[in-house]
Amino acid sequence: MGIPEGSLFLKKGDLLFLIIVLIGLVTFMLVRFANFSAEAKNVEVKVDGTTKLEVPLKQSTARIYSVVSSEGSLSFIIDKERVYVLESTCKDKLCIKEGAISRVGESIICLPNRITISIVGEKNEVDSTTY
Amino acid sequence: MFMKGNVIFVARISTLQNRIKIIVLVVLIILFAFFLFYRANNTYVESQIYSMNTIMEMKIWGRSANDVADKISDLVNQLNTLFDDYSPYSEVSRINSNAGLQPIEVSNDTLQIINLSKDYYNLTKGKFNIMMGVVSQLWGFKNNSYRIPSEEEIAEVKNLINIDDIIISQNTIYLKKKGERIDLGGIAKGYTLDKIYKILEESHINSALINFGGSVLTYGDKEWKIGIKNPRGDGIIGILSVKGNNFISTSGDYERFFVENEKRYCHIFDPDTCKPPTVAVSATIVGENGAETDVYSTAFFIIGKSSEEMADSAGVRLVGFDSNLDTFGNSGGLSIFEKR
Repeated sequence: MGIPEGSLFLKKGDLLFLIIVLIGLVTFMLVRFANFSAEAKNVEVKVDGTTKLEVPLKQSTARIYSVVSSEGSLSFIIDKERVYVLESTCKDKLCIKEGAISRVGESIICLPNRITISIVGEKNEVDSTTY
Repeated sequence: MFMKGNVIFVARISTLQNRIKIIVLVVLIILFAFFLFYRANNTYVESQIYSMNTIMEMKIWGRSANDVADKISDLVNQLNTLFDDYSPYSEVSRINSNAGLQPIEVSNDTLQIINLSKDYYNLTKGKFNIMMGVVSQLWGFKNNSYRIPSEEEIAEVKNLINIDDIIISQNTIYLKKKGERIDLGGIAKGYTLDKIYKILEESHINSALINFGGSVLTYGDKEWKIGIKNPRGDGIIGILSVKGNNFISTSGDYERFFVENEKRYCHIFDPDTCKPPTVAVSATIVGENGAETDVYSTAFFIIGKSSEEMADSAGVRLVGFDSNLDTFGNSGGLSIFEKR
């Protein structure tokens, strides 16, 4: 009525359309982010700074993994949501002495082999660890 | 009449279509701008570097995160070529191999870190001493062939740890006696973190978390949760909650050590005895300067519980553990620490 024919001013129907488009987009984004923030804990293995393996911390049965780098190799076990190194070709064996890790943010570092094993996940108790 | 009505109807549809087109266009432009802005400000870079005989893990959030990560990598690799005494070509190794022979021309960074180390020697009443390299070598920590030296050997080596034997003249450094050895292991990480902090300050980033072989730099306006490694067990022994920009460094007897006759011998030595100290198993310092934090963690690990007052006067926060894993520290440190 008050709006002249052909005007660019938004009508009720246009506004509704806009709102529907925006709601759709927001829902889409929320669903995407929700998928990311699942509370899953993963075991992430990096060799010389590059991620080589990422597997869930929760396994139905104990699993042993072998990791090979240009410097040597090690094997670690994921058992009852804990991770520890079983064997390593390194000299100092600090990775074995390190013991088991189980919380997000914790990691085992084998310097001579340039291998890191970390527990990663959205819900981290600590941002980093000083040692 | 019929013709006219039809024409009006067509005109209405075309204006409606135009309006929809414009709305869609505007929405898309806004979303695209928002997306670009979001992406630029939420750039996140995570990377690992193996350097200085340890690992650096960095997480950087913000517009120039990629640039900053590259700059940090370059810096760390460059400083490594100066400070790493495991590499025979580093400036420090050249100073050491020319001990008692001739002065060596060094870069600004090497001059700076050695001057700084001399200052900290005085501030810690001699407990932090970069001349302990020869002691570490005697106990086999430089080549992984650990052994307990005899008292005679220890007495002999005590003649080679005098900080005043480091002669600095213009841009050269000279060690007076053959066998003397500079070891920057107790300060190099902290010094590097100080230089990284400068890079971060001059860049467009929101926050960053750098962990350099256990020494941590938190950067950015938020509360950070930093775990302290359990010195005698799995995982962490407790959590530090720190706000904003902080340097956090820990010295402990659990990283590099050997056990003989059920006794533990670690890689840090008390300059007064040239033996590993036994009063603490770990000491963590939170401070506003990387080198300082690094240095005091070593000194207070050696001194143990009685370093609480020194921590206060140095203006740093201390959390340490004795051999029973009982906590010690100053009020600044204990107030931000929660044992689990």
